[in-house]
Amino acid sequence: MKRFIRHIILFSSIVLASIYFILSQADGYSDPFYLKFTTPQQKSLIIGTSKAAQGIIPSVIAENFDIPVYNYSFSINSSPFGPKYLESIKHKLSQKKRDGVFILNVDCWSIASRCTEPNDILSFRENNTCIAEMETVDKNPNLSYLLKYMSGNYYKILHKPAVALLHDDGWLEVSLSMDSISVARRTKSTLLNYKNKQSIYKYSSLRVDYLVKTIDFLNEFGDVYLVRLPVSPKLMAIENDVMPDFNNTINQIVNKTSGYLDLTTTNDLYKYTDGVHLQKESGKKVTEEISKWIRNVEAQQKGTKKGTTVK
Amino acid sequence: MLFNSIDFAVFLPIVFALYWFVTNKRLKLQNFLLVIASYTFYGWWDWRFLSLIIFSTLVDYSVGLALKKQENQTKRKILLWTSILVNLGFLGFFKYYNFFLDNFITAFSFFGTEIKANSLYIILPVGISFYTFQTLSYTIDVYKRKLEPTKDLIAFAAFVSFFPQLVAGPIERATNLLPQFYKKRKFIYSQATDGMKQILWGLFKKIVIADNAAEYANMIFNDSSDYSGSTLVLGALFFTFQIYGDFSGYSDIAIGTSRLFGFNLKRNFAFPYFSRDIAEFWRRWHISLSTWFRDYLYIPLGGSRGGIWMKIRNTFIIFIVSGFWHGANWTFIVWGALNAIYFIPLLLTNNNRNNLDIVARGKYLPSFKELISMLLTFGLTVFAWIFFRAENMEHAFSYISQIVSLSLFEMPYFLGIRKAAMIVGFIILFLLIEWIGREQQYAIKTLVSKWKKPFQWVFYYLIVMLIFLYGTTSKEFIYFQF
Repeated sequence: MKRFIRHIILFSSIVLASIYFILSQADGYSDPFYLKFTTPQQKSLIIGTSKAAQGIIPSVIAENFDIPVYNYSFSINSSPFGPKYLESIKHKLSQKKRDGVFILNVDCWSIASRCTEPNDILSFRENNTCIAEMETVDKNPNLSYLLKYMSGNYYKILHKPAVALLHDDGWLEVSLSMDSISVARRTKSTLLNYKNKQSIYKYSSLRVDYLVKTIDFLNEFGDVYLVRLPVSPKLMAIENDVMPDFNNTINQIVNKTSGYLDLTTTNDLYKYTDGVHLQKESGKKVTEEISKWIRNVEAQQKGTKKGTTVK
Repeated sequence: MLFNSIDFAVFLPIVFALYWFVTNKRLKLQNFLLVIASYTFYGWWDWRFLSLIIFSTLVDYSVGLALKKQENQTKRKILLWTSILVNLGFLGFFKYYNFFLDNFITAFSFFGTEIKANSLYIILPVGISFYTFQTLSYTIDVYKRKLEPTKDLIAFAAFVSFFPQLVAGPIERATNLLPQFYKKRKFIYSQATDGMKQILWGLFKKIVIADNAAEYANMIFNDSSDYSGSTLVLGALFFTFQIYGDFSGYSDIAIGTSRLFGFNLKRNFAFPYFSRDIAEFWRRWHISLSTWFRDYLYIPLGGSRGGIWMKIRNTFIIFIVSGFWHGANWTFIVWGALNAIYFIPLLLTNNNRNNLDIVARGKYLPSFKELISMLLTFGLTVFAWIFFRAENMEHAFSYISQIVSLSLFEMPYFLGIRKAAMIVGFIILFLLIEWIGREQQYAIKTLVSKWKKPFQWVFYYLIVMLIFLYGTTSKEFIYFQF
């Protein structure tokens, strides 16, 4: 019996040590969110869904501004505005300084709910996601994340799939083939998916309240900028159907921020991997546009008050 | 509690330590601990259904004792039928009530009579078909005087609820398992390490093979109308390996776990996909259920001793009942009937016992004839599994009709085909190991036993790592629903 126990303990120790070693190798290739929960607390943040995660590039902002901004955007399922995302932002934000820059990506999906009662907080779609459940967002390696959310996908730690890479600054770099056939196939599938969402997603006044709460909270630590990222014209048509008066809704709260930049007026200027997400190069251009706009707003703010809508 | 869960990974060492160290190896105390552990294991799903197990245990225990005292044949029959009715009554209510009600209503509406009846929302207690058959075997054997009834209620309760095989078998016979509860168990190193190896292989089958195959089988079966015939064939193949990995994996874990506690359970699978005909397949697939039906249904019906029609009738009965045992759905009945149709020509031509030995014993490769026979039998089995997996008969027929179309010659395509290719690689590796180890109780029993110890450890370490890296999130075992 002693020999059996001794062997089991020895074998288990080797296995556990190997598992720990493998888990500690997890990086930006392993999972699209993992590094967001391993990097230190941040002074400046980009907030939004996967459009922002892929389309706003912190390193481009850093080139223009010399400000390290961290992209803390997730996906349409995890990070619409609500109590859970706000709580997570509070965990991620270093609350020591008050000169941060906060770029909030807004669109009709992030202020909509897909439950029967759009203001039913208990049925919010992000309630069972990592955003809601992860209290520790700055620990490396973050074992609780790996054990809970990567279960079933540990092979990705070793295989390093080349399609998506989450950078240390939070930018999710997606490298997909941009030939016309591949783009058309992905766009067809994604737009079909969004068309299905069209009847399910409903405007939620409570989510708008939480957008305001998020702005109010972030205002204490720096300047807040609202941005609506460009999308393909076909998705634009769907978004207009879902919330025709989206800009009016945002304009009602814009005075709480440093400004609102609606880039959907320039949709045709950019390329999209699937009709929704900006292609890498287009993401760089869009981020440069955002940087320029912020610089202009800052210059204007020195002489005027907050709440400028720039188109 | 699932075998492939963290809960079980904590539960098992605790029970093991208490069993061998705290009970001080006292038999009564060990049996009592096993009852408590088994009830905890079962109650983890839904403690309310423990009452069914306890009631069934008390009924069969009392019937067993009463049968011993009773010499009057009529009264003995009444006692036997009391046990059968109680056990099958529970099974019938929980598993088949809505099925019979729905079919009754459909049948009457066919003749123009509308019947209004309320179907009930009934939750099927996990493993009810398994422990019901296990306890029935006890009463029937006592009735036939093949077994002395036990006076030891704790040992009997432990036999009925023994946690390694409680929810998905192997369905143990009282003649095999019950006496093991009377004997003092001794810890034997070789038996325990053998048990650990079998558990490891079972986990590999379940987590790496079955659960990964399930992802694609489910995707393809759930939206079968969207896929080409060639993709549907792949879907059926994925399900074929899912169900084998899932169920035989469970049996391996159950048998291995029992060995840690000093028990020997019956073998439940013997490499069925290497069978050369359907009769051999059924001697190698879910052995504990096949032999149960053979001994308690087929032989009492007359078996294959009567004329041709009697043989055909009995074969259909046993296969259809076996199909129905799996679930209250016409798909299972058709699956059973289809297997009967496969089997009858062999029976009528006296070719059903041609292949009793393992294929190509002592050789590396099968002969060409054996290979063709294996492929043909495998093909028939895959076809039958389509009925087993389909949601209903309409789904099964539409699935098959889509296979038999020009799209059968298209390249298969579905989401995640790259990962699927990796899973196919694992299935091929798995089949290779199973082929090499086919003369053993389970594939890796002696696979590396001649290697030096450090190399053996590396082999087992690699299996653990494969389970960790390529396992999916813990999924229930398919046979829990039966």
